[in-house]
Amino acid sequence: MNRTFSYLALWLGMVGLAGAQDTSDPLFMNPEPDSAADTTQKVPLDAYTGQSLKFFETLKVDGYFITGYKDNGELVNSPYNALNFGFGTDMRLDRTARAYSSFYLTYPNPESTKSSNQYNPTVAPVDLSGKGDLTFSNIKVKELFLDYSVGTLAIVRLGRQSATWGQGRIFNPGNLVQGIGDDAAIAAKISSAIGPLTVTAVAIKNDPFYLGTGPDPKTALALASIAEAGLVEYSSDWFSTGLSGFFHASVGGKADLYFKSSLWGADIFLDCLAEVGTTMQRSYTGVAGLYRDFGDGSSKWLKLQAEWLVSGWGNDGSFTGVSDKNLGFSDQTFGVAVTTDLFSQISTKPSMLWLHTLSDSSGQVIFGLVNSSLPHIDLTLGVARVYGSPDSRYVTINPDSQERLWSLTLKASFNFDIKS
Amino acid sequence: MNITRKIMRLFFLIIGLLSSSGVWAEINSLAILSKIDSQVSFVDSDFSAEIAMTQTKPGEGISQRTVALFRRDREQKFVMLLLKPESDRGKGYLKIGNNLWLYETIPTRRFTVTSAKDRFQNSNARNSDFTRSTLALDYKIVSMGKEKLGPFDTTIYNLEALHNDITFPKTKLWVTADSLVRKTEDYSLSGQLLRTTAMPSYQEFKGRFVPKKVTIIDALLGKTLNGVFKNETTEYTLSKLSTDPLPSLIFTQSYLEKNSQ
Repeated sequence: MNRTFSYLALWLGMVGLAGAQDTSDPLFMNPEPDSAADTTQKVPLDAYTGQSLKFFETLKVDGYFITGYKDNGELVNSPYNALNFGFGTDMRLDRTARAYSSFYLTYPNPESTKSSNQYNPTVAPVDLSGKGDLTFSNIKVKELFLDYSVGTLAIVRLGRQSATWGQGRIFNPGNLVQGIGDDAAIAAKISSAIGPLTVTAVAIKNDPFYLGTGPDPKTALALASIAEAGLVEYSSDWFSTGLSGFFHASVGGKADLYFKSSLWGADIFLDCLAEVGTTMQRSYTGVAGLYRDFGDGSSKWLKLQAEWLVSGWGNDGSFTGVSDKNLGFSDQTFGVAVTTDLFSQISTKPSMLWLHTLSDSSGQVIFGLVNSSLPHIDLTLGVARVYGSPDSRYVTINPDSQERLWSLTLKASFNFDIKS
Repeated sequence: MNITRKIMRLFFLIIGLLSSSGVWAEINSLAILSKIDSQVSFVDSDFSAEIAMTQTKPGEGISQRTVALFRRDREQKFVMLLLKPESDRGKGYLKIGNNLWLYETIPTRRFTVTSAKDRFQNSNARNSDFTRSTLALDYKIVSMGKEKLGPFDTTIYNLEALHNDITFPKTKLWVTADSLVRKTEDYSLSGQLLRTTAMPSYQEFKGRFVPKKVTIIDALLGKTLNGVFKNETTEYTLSKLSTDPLPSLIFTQSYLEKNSQ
């Protein structure tokens, strides 16, 4: 009845029976008259059109204290500190050419066997040989690449670079270029738009990553040690899809197909991966996920991310070829991440991540509360719970080097970031 | 005579049925909103423009941004690339159909899914403000009226969303006889006013219309100063309009990657 009435009112309104009100809106007091557009100038096609040189530095200092219980009930307290210093340049010659460099060093040195675990979260207890020898790492290259635009046809990137493929934010087996950003990697990438398709091809050399051991001088120069990957993507009005492939002579091949769209206000995706090892062993992995936020648009009271992984070889994310531990499709894991903007007025962001594997009923739950009300400083309160039998997945890959199953973390981070 | 009467009766019966069933109103709703969309859409060519944006936060000051906008309306593609401030230069958004990507460089170089409903760079504008107008696809007219808006005689259309993939579930348009939207009010599902947008004047370009200046008043965000609540506002102007063909490479993730810092 109401629907009928409203339509009738609409129709009556359309034939002009509704009376005109007169309002005075300050935004419309003396509006500029409509006119023809000025067409003498055009917007530049790139953000950087002329010569540009930038220097940047970042400094991150963390101090934190973790307390918690191990599986045997032992209480372990650990104060940690860490420092990460980065610097680099971004040089644009014109809109076609760019050279980018980024270097970093860390303290304590994660590679030093003499570093104290007491203060160094990156060194496992078994590596300890003493305390107090806290040294800096050498300066390392994070990224060092050259970009070149071949007219408006293609973009080429050469050198050490980072990239992430795949759709998953919690589990991402579709990231076929996982070895591209390593300390030992170098790569060449070319991207182009061909008709409705976006095509990307990458060649990666990273022997320690793909061969699993240090580079053999004989094989290091061999062409066979180069990994090749390609990605073809297509987007229509209502979905995006992409097919990617990877091959390395010592590892095998992978093929990944994803589909992404929006449905009922949620972003959804499906990512399917098939692998074939060098001895023709096969494995299949799939991830389905959604992202949905809830709120009136000004602030979201809930942001939800959920992903479901069905894996033939677990979710440790390492690329070491096809695992011997093929669990088939019984190996299912889900991850749920939530956060909210409700406390943004007090610069505080709560979040929660829950990972659970169905095959061995292990998992981890992490609650975090980050306050950024002080300039350059983030204060974090975290609670983590790792559960499962001693040989279960999440207990085995517990990221805490002290292997606490219950832990409380208090952390202060100082962030300094400057560009010139 | 009898036949004429019968035909007239049948005609009014059909009109009455269409009106009461809502079909006629829906057809009209679609026609009206399609006309509004067509006035500001460039489906026969690419479109590019530069947007100069000023955001005023009461008690905090003014921030300014310059953005390059590239649109291919016929394929529902758009790219926004920040040109200023220097610290954000090269940041970009890519939207194809209903997928919107933001390229992030920290902590890793990757594209993240974002929402057209989100605020553009924490301003009072939404990402969806800069895409092709799709009112006819997204809304239906539920009521209408007349109002004098400054010098303009306008028709007010109250709209309700047809689906969830829309930034505002309810919106109100003030439209002049030339089918140009001069003012909008956007509401939450519960009917709370979220923001008011004014577009008092347009620039005609290649048979279409582009607002000269857009003023957005955020109904929720602001600060009480001297006992008076002052709303956050964002104003932007569009200039350097062009319908020259754009390279397809612009509407790719690689293009954003290349321009990023």
